[in-house]
Amino acid sequence: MSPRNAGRAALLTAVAALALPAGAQAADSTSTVTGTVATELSLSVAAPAAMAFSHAAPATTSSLVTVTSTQTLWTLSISDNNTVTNAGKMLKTAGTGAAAVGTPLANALQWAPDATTFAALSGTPATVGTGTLVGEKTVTFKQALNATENVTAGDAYALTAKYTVN
Amino acid sequence: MRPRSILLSFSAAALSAAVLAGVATAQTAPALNLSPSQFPGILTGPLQVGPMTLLNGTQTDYRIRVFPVLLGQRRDGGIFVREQARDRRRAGRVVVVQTRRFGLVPGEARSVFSRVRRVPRSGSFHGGVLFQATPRVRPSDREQITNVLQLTASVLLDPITPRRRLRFATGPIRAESPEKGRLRLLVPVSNRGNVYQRVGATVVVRDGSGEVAARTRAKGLKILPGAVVDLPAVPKEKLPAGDYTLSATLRGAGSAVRARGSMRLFGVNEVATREARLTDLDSPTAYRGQEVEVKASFENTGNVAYAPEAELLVRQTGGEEPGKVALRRPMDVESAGPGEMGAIQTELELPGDARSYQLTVRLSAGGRTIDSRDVSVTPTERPPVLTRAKNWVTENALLVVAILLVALILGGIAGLGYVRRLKRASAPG
Repeated sequence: MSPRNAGRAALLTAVAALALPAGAQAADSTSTVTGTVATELSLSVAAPAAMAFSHAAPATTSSLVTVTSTQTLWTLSISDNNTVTNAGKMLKTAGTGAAAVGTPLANALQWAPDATTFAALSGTPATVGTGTLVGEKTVTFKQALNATENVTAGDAYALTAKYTVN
Repeated sequence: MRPRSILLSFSAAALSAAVLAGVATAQTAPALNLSPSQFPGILTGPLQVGPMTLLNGTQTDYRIRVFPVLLGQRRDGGIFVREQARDRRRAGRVVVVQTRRFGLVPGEARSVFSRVRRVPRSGSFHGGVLFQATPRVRPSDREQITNVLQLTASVLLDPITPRRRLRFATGPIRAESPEKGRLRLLVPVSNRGNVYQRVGATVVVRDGSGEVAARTRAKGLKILPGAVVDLPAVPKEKLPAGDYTLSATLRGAGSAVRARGSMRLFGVNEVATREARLTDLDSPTAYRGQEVEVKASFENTGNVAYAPEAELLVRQTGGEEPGKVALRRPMDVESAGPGEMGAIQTELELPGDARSYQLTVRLSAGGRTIDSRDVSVTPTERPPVLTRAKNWVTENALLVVAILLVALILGGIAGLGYVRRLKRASAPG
């Protein structure tokens, strides 16, 4: 095909394409994908490492708490799950020592949202912190023994910490 | 089901379906996830709310309990769950949950519906549904600190238009300097209506001659019915020392509500600020039938020396949740300068014969609670004198050693002196 004929053929093809009804054309179609952010609240709390209690110095451990939210303001609080007798204190759960199972340590478990400002844990929720959207808080725990406190090596003490986010 | 409830359920279902679909294809964080977590709407009558979908993205097997709850609001606007048993009972009279408890293994999701049974007398309901997740572990595998997680889906239902009551009241405007050279004005707003409403304020500061020295807008906050919230406003202007009058007009309150106040600046944007926080509250040792000494300490986080008002509240907790306040006692507080620590203490006999007590130390300034801490105390029988003496010696070992050391040195010195005198006396001539 000569270059002139080729040009004519291309022109005719273009005119024919324009003359065809829209439905007969091989058209591109577009669709818009939309999405809306749902209201959501997630809570993740790492298990703190076990503490080794000593009369010499308070034992400490910490836990990383992650709140994932689509809300503009959330509040994270902490309390002892035990709100009755000996709230805030670690109770003996196992061991061969003289203290009976269920006996509390003399001092309440202390906690701090910033590793410095410690407060006794209690059955009443205390604010760890507030935030927006996604945030992390490190809760530090500290347990002290009294100088005269009778505890036996190997005895296990436990407490259930309750984290509430809303 | 009324049209509104259908809409609520449908939109919630669609959103949770979207979330779960997302979960199916994307990797999730190892967390417990609740979606939707908010159900705003209008309370037209009994209606169904949900589904609320709880997804266990952790590796822990959880036991879930579901409760209807009421919500409260702090003065800074933060929302909290009212966890006391009587509040749960009140919430339970309005909202019922379809499933009260279930297990949730890792990777599992479960949807729960709740139902608003009736329209409360107020015409609105602002509460929620709380999901409490407790790890299912054998006693032998129990960790030292076990974590119970609680997530709340807020159900915020305003009244129908004819029953809407927008009523707001204000208190005196306060001024404080949270840091040097920064002035913040707080407009206390009390929501006495039945609508969860966003309210803002325009604050005008006038100097001694009545001229406008600053005009600023307080950030709008949504306030729950029954709550008192401080709307914060920060003037851009640097205001010199002097006396000022403050006035505020609420926005979004439905009618013209005004607040007034005054302040005296002792420097540029410096106002006397009385703030404090409790830093220490030790578990006191309590013996049956004897007075208990309660000691705490505070840090003066304000900018002037002062002694905050402190009060001790005693509640009995004999085997159940803390009851009503059985005893109130003002505490002795020493004055402390800015950034310094002060001591708080009192002695009292615990009322009644409960197994255990909850002691709350509450700090306040001008009738406003600025901090509070709780501690549990369980009275025991007083040990014999010998045991107490032994305990005292052990607890004060350093002091005892120091006293003995000083006595030893003094004795040695005296002995040396005596020996010298003897030698001098026995020397010939």
